[in-house]
Amino acid sequence: MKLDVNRDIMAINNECAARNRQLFRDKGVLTLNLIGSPGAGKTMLLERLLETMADCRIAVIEGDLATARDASRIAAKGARVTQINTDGGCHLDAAMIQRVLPLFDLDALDLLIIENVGNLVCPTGFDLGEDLRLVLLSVAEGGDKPVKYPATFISADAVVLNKLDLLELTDVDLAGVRADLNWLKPGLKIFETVCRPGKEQGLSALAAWLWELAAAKRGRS
Amino acid sequence: MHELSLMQGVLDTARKALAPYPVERVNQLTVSAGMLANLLPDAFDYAFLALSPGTMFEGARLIVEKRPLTACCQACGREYESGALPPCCPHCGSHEAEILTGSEVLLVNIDFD
Repeated sequence: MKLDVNRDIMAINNECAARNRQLFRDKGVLTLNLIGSPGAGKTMLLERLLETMADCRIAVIEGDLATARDASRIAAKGARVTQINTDGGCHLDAAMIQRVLPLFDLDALDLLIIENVGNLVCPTGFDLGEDLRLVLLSVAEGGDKPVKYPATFISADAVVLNKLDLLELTDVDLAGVRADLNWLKPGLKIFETVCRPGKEQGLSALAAWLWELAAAKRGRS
Repeated sequence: MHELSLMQGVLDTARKALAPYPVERVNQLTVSAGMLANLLPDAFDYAFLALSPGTMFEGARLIVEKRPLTACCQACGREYESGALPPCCPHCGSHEAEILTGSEVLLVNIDFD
């Protein structure tokens, strides 16, 4: 016999994400899900943001297959941080976030940043309860990534094009990347950054945007 | 390889759905994956082969259908289905879209004896 089920496998994650989202709303904490390939510069972007946004109360959840290296780098900047090791898992899910939230005093936070496992594919389908999804792409990865990984870039609220200091060493056509992103998702916000110490570029625009959204969310809670 | 955790979800959901029935053998599972779920059919098949042995699903057929996304056009306000990325409104041609569905992975039905 045939049994009709029609049940969404993602529902378990989505329900958990909705609970996380409600908690972030109650506490007035802006939450950011940072997605990008391994080596795109996610952790270095966070290091620079923590310096640039010194007056903003920021905590970080780090996701990696193994080690607490990223958490150590964030802790060295004085931010509250916890590390999730997925032991081979390719993405974070909402339940993993829910489990570590008691480690933070959400009442004393303006911004919670979740650095996802380095991966441009698997994290896309897993809502964590975030307000914003930021996809980071370094020019060293090649300019064709937005059209080759469309679902990920379409799911973004903003894209950061990073490592622009390496642009001249690549054959990436930056205007073409911007055009591809705008074709995938018209009006998509794009930031362009250099995060290497001493060569920073473009971070204040990203910081100002996050500040504005964090203040708006705090005001609504 | 998020297909492994999705397949675990499919099998858990199927097991719960079948719980009220006396099941001799499961013949076929039909899954429908939204095009934003980034589900790779080959990896999904592999996950099924890895997780099904020794369970009631061993030897069953796995059918995976791709499901179009639904979007609301931000230019003309109409809702539509799209089987391609980026979504493009068939009524006015705009790419400006609010995605309504497309990340879901549905266990559609189970055929069993």
